[in-house]
Amino acid sequence: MAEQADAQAQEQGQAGQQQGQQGQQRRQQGQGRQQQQSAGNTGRGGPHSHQLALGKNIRIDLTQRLPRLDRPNAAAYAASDARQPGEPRYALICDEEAPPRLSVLPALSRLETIPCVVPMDWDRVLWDDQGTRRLAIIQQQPSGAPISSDPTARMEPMREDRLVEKVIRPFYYALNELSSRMVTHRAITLDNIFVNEAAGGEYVLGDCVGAPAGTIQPAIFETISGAQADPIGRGPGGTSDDLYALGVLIAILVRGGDPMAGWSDSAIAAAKIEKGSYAALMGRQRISLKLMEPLRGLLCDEVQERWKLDDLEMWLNGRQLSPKQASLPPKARRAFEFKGEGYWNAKSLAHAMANNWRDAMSVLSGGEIEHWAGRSLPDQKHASRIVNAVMSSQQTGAAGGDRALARVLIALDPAAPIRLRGLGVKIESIPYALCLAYNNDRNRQRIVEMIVGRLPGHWLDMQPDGAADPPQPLAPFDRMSFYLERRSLGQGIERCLYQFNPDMPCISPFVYGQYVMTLEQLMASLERTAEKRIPDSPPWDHHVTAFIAARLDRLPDKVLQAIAKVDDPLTHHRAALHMLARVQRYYGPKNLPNMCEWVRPMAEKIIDSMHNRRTKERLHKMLSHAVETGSLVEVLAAVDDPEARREDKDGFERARQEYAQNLREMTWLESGGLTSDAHIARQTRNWATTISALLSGIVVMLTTVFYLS
Amino acid sequence: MSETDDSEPAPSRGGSSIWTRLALVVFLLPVVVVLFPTTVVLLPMMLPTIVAFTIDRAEGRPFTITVGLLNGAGTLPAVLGVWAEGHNLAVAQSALSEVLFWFIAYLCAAIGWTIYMVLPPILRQYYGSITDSRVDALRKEQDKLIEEWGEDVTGAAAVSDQAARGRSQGKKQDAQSRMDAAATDLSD
Repeated sequence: MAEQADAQAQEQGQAGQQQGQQGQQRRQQGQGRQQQQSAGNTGRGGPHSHQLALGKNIRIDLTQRLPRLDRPNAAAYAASDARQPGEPRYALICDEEAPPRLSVLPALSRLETIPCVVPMDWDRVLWDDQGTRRLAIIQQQPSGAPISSDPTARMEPMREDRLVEKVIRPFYYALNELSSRMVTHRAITLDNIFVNEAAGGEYVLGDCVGAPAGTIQPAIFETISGAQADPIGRGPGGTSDDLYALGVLIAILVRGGDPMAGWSDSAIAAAKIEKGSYAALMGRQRISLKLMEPLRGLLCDEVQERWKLDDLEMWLNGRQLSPKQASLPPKARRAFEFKGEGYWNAKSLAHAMANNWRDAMSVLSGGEIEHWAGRSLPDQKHASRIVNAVMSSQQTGAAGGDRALARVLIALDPAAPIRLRGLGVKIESIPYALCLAYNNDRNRQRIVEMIVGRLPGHWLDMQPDGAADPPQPLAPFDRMSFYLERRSLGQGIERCLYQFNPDMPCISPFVYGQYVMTLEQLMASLERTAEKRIPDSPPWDHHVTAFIAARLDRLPDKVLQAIAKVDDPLTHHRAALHMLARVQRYYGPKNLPNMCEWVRPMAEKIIDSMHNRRTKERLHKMLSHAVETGSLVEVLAAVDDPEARREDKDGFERARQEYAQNLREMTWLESGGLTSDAHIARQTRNWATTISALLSGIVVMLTTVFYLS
Repeated sequence: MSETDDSEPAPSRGGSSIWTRLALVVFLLPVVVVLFPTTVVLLPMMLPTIVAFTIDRAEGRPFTITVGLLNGAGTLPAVLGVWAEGHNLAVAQSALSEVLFWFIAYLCAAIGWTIYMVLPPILRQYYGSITDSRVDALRKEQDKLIEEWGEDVTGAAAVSDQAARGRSQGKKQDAQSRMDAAATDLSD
């Protein structure tokens, strides 16, 4: 089983290499564009004018870059809205590499009353003369400067009363509004919080949609499990993650700087595990009892015990709550020696092993963990889970070594993200991480291996009752595994990308650079591609097919199954045409003459697969007419009329039988069927006796007449 | 179109054939005795038939029948003459001495013999021409089939496409139902 999963993961990885090359090309294109963005609108291939229009009222000024508001995959430009000329706006111009949080845009749209940068409008804009399209997100432009552009820099510690009124209260309000809309911020960092000293020192949370959730938030602002995960594997999380980040922000502002500046993510997580988040962040810093309450509550490492919005509201309203005590992992009776250091709890040991994968592999094969867990850990249930995981890992052998270690790490620390060969991903972020790691061969293969190796299921099995927050269903991971185990069109890793990431634009080479988010845009983009030059390959590659399969609810499974039959070109082409026709029918655009011209050779092959010359001539005429009208539905109707196909098939069968019958008769005749000696002899017999009978009858008659007369 | 070889010997007559012959002899013997004058006339005049019988080995003895029918008809004037004159041996001898009777009987036998000898080449010619015209017609039909259905119809590269299933759809059905029908058709 493990070997099979191994092979599947390997296969996926190899299959992904080709896509990786495409991704490489795309990345290069992306870098080129990024440089063009940085350079403003000069040079070939750059923006076609100094100003981009988004709708009737919004103008994006491409001459005015705002680097402080940039996101890793989105450049910021000044913008204006004719409806509110006094309100400064800015635009994030996003590319497809790391899609922004499109799904939260409607929920946050025009939520102007909260102290948080929220999106005002968004749409694709035409970026250059080559037809490149980008996604532009228009947001309120925060006034003032970031708290600190340099995360390692020291600053003046903030007074507690100012902290409560300018930071905690407004941010509570902002997070409460976001939470009521089922949205998390996940971008709480020192350089994404703006303060306008001139306007009374109001603090405003920066953009939370321009970058994938959790990717720009430093590890110190993350919970222990968040810090253990890679940035791509942190995901949107929950409100409790935002509240924890708020707690970290308070700690930093009170201390006057990041106490862990310059530390690695791993070291930050290790310190938090060892001491607890509060102690790790605050150290020996003295603070008032009043502020200690929210700090201990917000920085509580147990998700269930961490302060919620209600707790914070009560505290802000003056109610006294007892400070939460740090709950450290239960200490073992003796330390486990790993790489010269002693680890007194399973969580620390798991963290250390996850960060020293090779050494951990040798420890795992030594069987020491099993003994240590069984004899030293105070929680017997936990210990038995670890022992079982280690024993099952020893049965899998070398082939499943990495996954076996990953399973043992999950057993050691069930709250941690799933970790495999140095990559940590929170379970709820697996689809998201797959999307962000798609162009990174190494990480992509690891994530695929996690899914195919059923690690999410194991993670869920290892959770104490109700520990997963939010509760995670297993079904999506089974579905992902199902897709990944298949490499056919409409399945595979691409299907996972689009099926489980609604924000993911289509990154098919046919439409790359056009930021295709919907099926209508996909068809229009394919039309534009064909308008420039019709590619040699059909318009349904792995990405296009998977994108349509994920977004088009009304696509019957049998069509997808037929598309997968590439060995049977006729069925494959028919099904693919059927899919495209459905997309045009339900999503438009109505007129796609170049797309029709693109699929014409395939349609002609379908017609040519029929037999009757007259039928083919008729269908070719119909096809020509359908291509002129630009309707894929008509193209499909012309080439794939089941009744005509059935008639053709039946007629052909009859003609074939007739031909065979004629052939047999000709062969018989030519081999002397009628002129053979046997036949002639037989016919001679018949003719001779007949003539003889006739003549003898005449003779008898004449004789009789003669004698009677 | 059975192609039984004419040259093969007649089926061997087994035990049942012996009994048939015996029954024939038992039946014919009284007839020969009663109609002795007729028998005396018939035997020499039917000599060509007897010869044909002895040399005819084909199934059903068609040569014997051909010669026998005409020879028998040609013997009828002599037999009628015997019967008309009193049916005794003297009359029979008188009839045997009549040249005309011999001429008629043997002429008829000769005609039968000739028919059997002349027919094969005529029939061979006739069937040869029929074969040619039929082959031409079939070849034209095949060319027409190829023209209409393509080379695949010859069966050499016949491609039987997917078995058609699903409900029948008229040409005037709307785009939706056509697509549904096509999707159903894809399922095989």
